[in-house]
Amino acid sequence: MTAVLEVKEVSKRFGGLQAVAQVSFEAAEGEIVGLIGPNGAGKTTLFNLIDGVYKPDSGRIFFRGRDVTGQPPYVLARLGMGRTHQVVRPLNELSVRENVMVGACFGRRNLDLRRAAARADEVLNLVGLASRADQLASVLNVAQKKRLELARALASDPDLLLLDEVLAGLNPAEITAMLDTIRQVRQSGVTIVIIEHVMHALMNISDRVVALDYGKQIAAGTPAEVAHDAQVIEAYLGDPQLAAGLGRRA
Amino acid sequence: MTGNGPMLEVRDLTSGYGDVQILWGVSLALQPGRLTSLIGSNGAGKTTLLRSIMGLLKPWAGAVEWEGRDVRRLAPHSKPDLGLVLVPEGRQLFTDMTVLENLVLGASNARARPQVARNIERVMELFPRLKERRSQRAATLSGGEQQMVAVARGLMAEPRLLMLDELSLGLSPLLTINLFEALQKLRDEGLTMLLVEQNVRLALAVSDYAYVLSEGRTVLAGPAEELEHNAEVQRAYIGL
Repeated sequence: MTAVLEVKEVSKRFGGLQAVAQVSFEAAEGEIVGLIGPNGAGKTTLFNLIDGVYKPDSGRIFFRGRDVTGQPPYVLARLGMGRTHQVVRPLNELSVRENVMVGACFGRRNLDLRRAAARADEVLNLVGLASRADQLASVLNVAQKKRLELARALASDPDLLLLDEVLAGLNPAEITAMLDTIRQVRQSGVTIVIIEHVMHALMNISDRVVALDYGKQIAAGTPAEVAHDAQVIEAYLGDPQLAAGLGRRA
Repeated sequence: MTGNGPMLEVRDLTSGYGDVQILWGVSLALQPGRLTSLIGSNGAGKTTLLRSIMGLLKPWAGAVEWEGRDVRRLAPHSKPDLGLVLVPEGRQLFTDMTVLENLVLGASNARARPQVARNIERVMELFPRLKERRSQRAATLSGGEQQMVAVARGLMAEPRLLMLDELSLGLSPLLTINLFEALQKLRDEGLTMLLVEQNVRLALAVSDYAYVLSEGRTVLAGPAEELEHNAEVQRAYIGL
């Protein structure tokens, strides 16, 4: 398997905060890699480094074998890197189809309007929003907006898709449906890196998991390996040493 | 106390922000004199639950009862009159005021006002650091000291139930331990508390009882000692 994404010893500091420290991982073609870690672990910052929103202080990022470190997001989008954001911000005055067309027009294939509309309908079908294509994006509910966010990214025809908390705010039935959609996207050949706080879902869908804490990579492996890793457990449940001095009611 | 019932009872509470539902049916009963912890991963709904209990967020459905009385419609600022007091996440101090002024403001309900002098002495004994800092603007304190002021301000309100949201967030291990030692003291004096805490091991170490919240539901409850050894707790956090 060839690596679609290679992150090599990437670091980023904001003032006194080392947000990401020497993180390295790879995503092979067609793989789903989960990125976990407590609040503030550096997950979204790592996405921002991968897709060019921030430039790393050190380290390199390779996309399909090509060094893309420091390339701006629009260049990466044209090379085939798609991304969804934690806080979805659709273009509210445009229809659902038009929102997705924006992704198709400015993504890798640079489609003209007619082809972009066709691509949008194809993608809306895949994410289950076809019946909403002509509505304004502003009228969608949260679950639908999350799907629209995914559709916009998919319309750019990415090889690599970075998903940032696409399950947040969804109910259990919506989560199951979204996981099915993500699996279908992978079936179509897209490599996926996913950040998610709904842990059972993330553990369920990921082939491999990378765990961060305070910007550092503390574990990587299969979901089962990472879930039983002592450092991961400590990151989520707290340091047992710290609690040792405290005691229950006498 | 009226009878032997719980001090605060929440039943099948649902709530959220806008059209995003966060709580999907939360139930808990806080017994007087107990330190109860509410634990659960990020986004589980812990803070939303505290805000819903206080009335800072309007519950969509379900019951919030204080000693058997429905308090869902009671305004947040009236809750301390009953003895229901929240130490909010992020401390929320009046940073341009001195430590002492912040403390006095905590005692604004009718039960607490006559006790200001005595309670200031009490909280300064609990947090000697605050005695040294009493005339300093809150903004000039360290994060840990600010958290002490926030807890002390809560205590100034003469709480019968003190709810504490994420005390240890962003604090050094040493300051965290200082705060938890203060909680132990309050617990041993018999204060009823509900502690929301990201550090599960710390929370379970000092608590009598605990609830585990996962994706907006109470999924597990029991004596803290038992939950310390329950693999389900880990599952609620890590998913496997």
